[in-house]
Amino acid sequence: MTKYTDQARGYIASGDFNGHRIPQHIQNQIIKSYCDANSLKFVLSRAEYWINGSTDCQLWAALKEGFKHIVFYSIWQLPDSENVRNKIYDYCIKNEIILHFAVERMCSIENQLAFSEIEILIKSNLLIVNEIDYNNHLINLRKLM
Amino acid sequence: MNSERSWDFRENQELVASHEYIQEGYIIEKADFQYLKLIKQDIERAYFEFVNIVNKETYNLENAHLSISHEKINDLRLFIMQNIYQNTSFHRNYYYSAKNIIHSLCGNELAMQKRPGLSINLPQNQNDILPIHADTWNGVSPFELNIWMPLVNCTESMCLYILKRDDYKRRLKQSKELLRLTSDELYNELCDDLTWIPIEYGQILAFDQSLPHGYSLNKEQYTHWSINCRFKGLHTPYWDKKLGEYFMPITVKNCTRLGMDYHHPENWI
Repeated sequence: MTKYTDQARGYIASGDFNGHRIPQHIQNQIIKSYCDANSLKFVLSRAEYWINGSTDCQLWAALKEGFKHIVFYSIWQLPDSENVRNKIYDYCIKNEIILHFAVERMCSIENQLAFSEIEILIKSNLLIVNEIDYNNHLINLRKLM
Repeated sequence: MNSERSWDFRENQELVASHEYIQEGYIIEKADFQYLKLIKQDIERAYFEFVNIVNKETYNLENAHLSISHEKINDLRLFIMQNIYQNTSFHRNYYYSAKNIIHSLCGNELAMQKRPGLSINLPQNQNDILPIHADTWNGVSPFELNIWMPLVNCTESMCLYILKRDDYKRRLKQSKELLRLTSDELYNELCDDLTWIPIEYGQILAFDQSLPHGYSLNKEQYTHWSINCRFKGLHTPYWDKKLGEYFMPITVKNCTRLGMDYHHPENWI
């Protein structure tokens, strides 16, 4: 069960995540601004470890603290593994935790539908970034037209 | 238009629209009014709420300048945007009001701008001028389609202006230094070639934002209100405006969903 219902724990990245690198103080400012705009009390962020590609050590620590709201700097900080993400969603639903993503101005209301929409966004992006080689694709497409 | 061996299976109506869009850089179509009406209602509701908060007398959108001072216009704009983007019903109505032309020019598996832009140009307000620009000059993908909807009838200087494709090509060819000019210099340089696009409430403008466009000073008696939103094929290239922060996937089809979740059987041979 969550204890701190109006408080929002920030969650920021260290180093690169998904091709981005944002100084931590800038991430905190964006999260603080998101919290202000959404009437949430910002609690200083946990910074994810930057060890061996870690993406969820500090996230799990934040999830287990008892905050009702966890505010990520960006949705692209979610772990790469779909299984790990699903465990996080299940834990949030069970414990009534709302995940927020400041850059994308999104939040998960505590149900499966919200998380499935987050998954569609992540998978669409992975498809675009990893699967489509635009340069060759467009060159080949033009040849066929 | 299509020969028997062509791979271009686009319907005739779509080809006609595409031809006009390529030729002019824009096309005007009728909006689906049942959805457009809902869009306008949402904006009016938020506008009236704002005017009531600042204790002014309320007028219709065209006469908003009688209620709102030049200094308050950006507060009003942000208030309305905050209000209408609380959920996605506004976006849904926007998409459905322009669905036909979006599908014709862009496709049906789409990404949509998360926060459409709202323009309110009061008469004689210098701050409401939108300097001439092409969105692609600032990292916007040329694969995007801008769907622009007036909420009032727009004539003369209330209209969006655009430099048509042929004129743009000609001017670029004449001077490679064109893009080194400041936006004021560029406007003065191109002014005689610009086209102000008259449009009425109930119509939608689909335009190519890779062509220079903007708003000049509104010299008419009425306030300009319009809203603009970008759509693109979900799987077409993104430049600086990314999925998630700027775009949301709105019509992901079933086969794409299945493909995304497909796992090849491991050790199956």
